[in-house]
Amino acid sequence: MMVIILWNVIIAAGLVSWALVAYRIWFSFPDRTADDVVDFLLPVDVETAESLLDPAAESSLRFHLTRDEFRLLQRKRMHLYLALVRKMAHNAAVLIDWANREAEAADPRTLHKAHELQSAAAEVRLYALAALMKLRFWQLVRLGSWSVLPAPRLCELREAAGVNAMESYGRLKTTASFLFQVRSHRRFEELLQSL
Amino acid sequence: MAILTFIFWWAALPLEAILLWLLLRKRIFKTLPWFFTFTLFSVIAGIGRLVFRYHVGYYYYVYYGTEAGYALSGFAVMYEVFRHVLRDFRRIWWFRPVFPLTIVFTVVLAALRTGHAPLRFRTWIVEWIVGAEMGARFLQVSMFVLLVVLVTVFGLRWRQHAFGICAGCGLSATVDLLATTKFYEIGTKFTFWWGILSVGAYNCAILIWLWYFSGPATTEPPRAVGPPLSAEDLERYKGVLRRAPPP
Repeated sequence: MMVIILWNVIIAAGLVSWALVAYRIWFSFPDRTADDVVDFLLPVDVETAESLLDPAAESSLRFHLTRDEFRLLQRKRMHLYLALVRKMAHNAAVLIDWANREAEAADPRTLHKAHELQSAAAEVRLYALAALMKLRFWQLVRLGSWSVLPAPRLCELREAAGVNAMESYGRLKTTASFLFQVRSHRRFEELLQSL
Repeated sequence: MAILTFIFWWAALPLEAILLWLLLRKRIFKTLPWFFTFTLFSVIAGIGRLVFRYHVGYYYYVYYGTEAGYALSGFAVMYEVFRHVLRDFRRIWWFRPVFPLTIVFTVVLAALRTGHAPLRFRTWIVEWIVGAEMGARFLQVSMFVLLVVLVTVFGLRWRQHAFGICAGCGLSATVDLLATTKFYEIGTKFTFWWGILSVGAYNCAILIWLWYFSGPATTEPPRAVGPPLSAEDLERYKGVLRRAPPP
């Protein structure tokens, strides 16, 4: 019985995947060039993200605040970090879309930089997926509200799915700026500010 | 009508021959050797089946012999696709066992499903060949689903050759599994439609591959396995440092 259910699930997944491919072809952004990058990016406050993931800052808050105050603040910090991770994931999606287009270039230098950007953006997307799942789980079970269990530690999200958040996002910024330089784009400064 | 049936039944052979010519012309055998081998094998198998189609005794051996070849090359092609598409994730330790574990899962599931099938085969070898064929189909659908998830979640490039291979295999395998499931339920009354669906889906898969491989070829350079900075970038950094005023 279980085998037949699994079998049918896989067939259904195959059919749904085809529908998804059709949806993606129909609704995807058409041909993203370097001109279609900066306006679509959402600035990420890296310093805020660093401070949210700082274990020393979190320990200090835990020490100086009452238990209830810390739980409330931790829930707010979780929401703030969730917003930041979403922006990181969005930016990585825009950049990977652009890198995919640049990866079709004939110039080997552009090609190399595009592949580096693809790799960096995929890592950020992987991190974002894992971190969002963890944050959503904490929010679902209201881990921050229960007094019997310790409040979740946000600094644990420095690394998720084997990817370091700040390192991978830093690499994304560097590789994106390198590819922008290779393409001699005039909005280089804007790109750095938008990431 | 007989001519139309013949064209539909054997259309895969000239299409595969065109695909083989495209792969040769674009030197795809260097980047995707297993897919090239699979296409070459398909052409040879197709010719073999066409030649022996009226020799019932020989055709049985040719058919199941080539099916075994399809199953083995199907696994190899999927491994190639996995390596190509997921090379960006190689640094992450838990990505490495994903493929072997998927193979084990699909083969076990296919063996169990074939064991539950009402149909009985003439010999145990044929039963194993059909089981392996089902396993390969199952793996192809799983890989296709995995790739669609990765494209959706990570934004991987869907216009790359490896994704095209997987999309073709995924379509063919999904329809094939669906038809086989119906065949198990309905029995030999469904044989005609089972054949139509399987052949039609495989022809569509070849058309997908032709579309992917007829596009402009992009040569993918080897990825850097060392530090992320190239020597050129390092030189640029050194230049900036040299120009910086002393503290």
